[in-house]
Amino acid sequence: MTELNERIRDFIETGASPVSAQEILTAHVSMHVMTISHQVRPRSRRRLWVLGVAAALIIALLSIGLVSVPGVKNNAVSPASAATLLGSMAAKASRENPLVPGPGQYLYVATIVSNTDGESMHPSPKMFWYNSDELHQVWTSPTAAAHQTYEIVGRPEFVSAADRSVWVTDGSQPLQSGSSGYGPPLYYNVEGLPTKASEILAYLKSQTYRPKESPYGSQASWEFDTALQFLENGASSLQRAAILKFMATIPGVRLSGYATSMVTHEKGSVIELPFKRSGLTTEAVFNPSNSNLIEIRYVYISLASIEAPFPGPTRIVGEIQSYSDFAFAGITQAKSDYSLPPGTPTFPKVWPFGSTREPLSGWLGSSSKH
Amino acid sequence: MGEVVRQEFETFVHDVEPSLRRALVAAFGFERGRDATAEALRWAWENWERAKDLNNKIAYLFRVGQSKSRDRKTPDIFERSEAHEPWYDPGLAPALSALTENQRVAVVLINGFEWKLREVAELLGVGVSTVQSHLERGMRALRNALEVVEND
Repeated sequence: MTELNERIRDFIETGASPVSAQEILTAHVSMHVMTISHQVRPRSRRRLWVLGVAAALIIALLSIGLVSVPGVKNNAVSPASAATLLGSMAAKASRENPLVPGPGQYLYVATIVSNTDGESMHPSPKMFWYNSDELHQVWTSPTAAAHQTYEIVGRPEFVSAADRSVWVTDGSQPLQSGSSGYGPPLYYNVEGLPTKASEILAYLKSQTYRPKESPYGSQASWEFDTALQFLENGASSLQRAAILKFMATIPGVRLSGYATSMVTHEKGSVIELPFKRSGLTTEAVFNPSNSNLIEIRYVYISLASIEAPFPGPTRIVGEIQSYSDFAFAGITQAKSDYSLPPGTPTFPKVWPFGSTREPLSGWLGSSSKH
Repeated sequence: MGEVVRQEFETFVHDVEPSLRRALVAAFGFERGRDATAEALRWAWENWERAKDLNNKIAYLFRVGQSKSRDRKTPDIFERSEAHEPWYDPGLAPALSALTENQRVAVVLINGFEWKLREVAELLGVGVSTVQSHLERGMRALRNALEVVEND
């Protein structure tokens, strides 16, 4: 195939997101639901695609032609398309500013990650579930102790109307703090990252603070996830370029259209690596104009292999299991452990746990195990 | 609808959608092409007993998509935001838009996606020699517009 033919192919293939069977079928159902009830809330995030095909929204999405339905991808997309995009972004990355902390400095990275919590109000045995966004701020340094903060921001949302009903039946009591408690943050040693793509894999494998393999035993999945983690944690421009080029060599990586990030609502191109054994596909949403990693998310592609050791929300194929949106990164002087670098934006307000403020209602048609 | 029928339809979409979308996007541009694809597949679902046994599913649904989107006022455009996608040759969109609908379909499907002349002829309901003519004229115009020098 000549270069011009490849350009034509890539241009057409990536210009319109695939139409899925799910989209057709749920549009059919949603149209019916809309005729009997108008209680569908516009902000039902992870399952947005399920009711996002309700008439008005689908028309809007299709008219701009930029939003892909999460989890429903076209298997026929050429891997070469992913390589083209990653190569292009690598060229741009090599001209961007480095994010490597020097002596007395911290690398500050803020992300907003998804969080699903379940609660029951004593003495009720029934659980209700809600989704929320968690602002995760991390300060890491090669020479000082790393630290981090977690805060639930924005407004939590019940997973389903059924979950809200349980909450109301049990007295509409204030939510307990759902903020996650994790261990100390990792410092990603970006100083030693190679600037040649061919040397990246060996370097990633040598990082003892990272898991050595995927929990599902997939080498490609481990490489993809590890590379993404490094991209989220600062590096020099040439190092970032090398990581992007390395990602293009991972078997199974493909370009699969466009997506809008869940929290920051930025549009970008999706590079994904499906891994059937885990029942999930890892999607990385990039801004192709500057190589920024906008979001990492995991989407259910199969429920057969998903183990649920605890009761929880009912899962749906195509649903986003979890996401991490990049919010801001910068280098801060270590005047205090929690100082912010110049240009840090204002983040969404912290949710007032303990107040009587009501979370958003959940998706009308979903259900959870109680 | 039963689960079996649903699965049959999912398989049907999996097999048909990529080619159908490429053909309709080539003909009508990104917005209207995708819209027409969704319309055609929706028709297939609503007429499943008929759609599942069609001889040439893609050609038939191509015409369904054409007729379903015929009354749309949306122009056939290939506009893309350069702010988000600067890696594309900015000349490609206007060059493709300048071709006739049939030239575009021939160029995109045959050169871009390696369809056979006969397959595009069936899709468009014209003869193979006509498709060959659309392809040659389309490629000539495209190369001129993009100032590409190559012999393919």
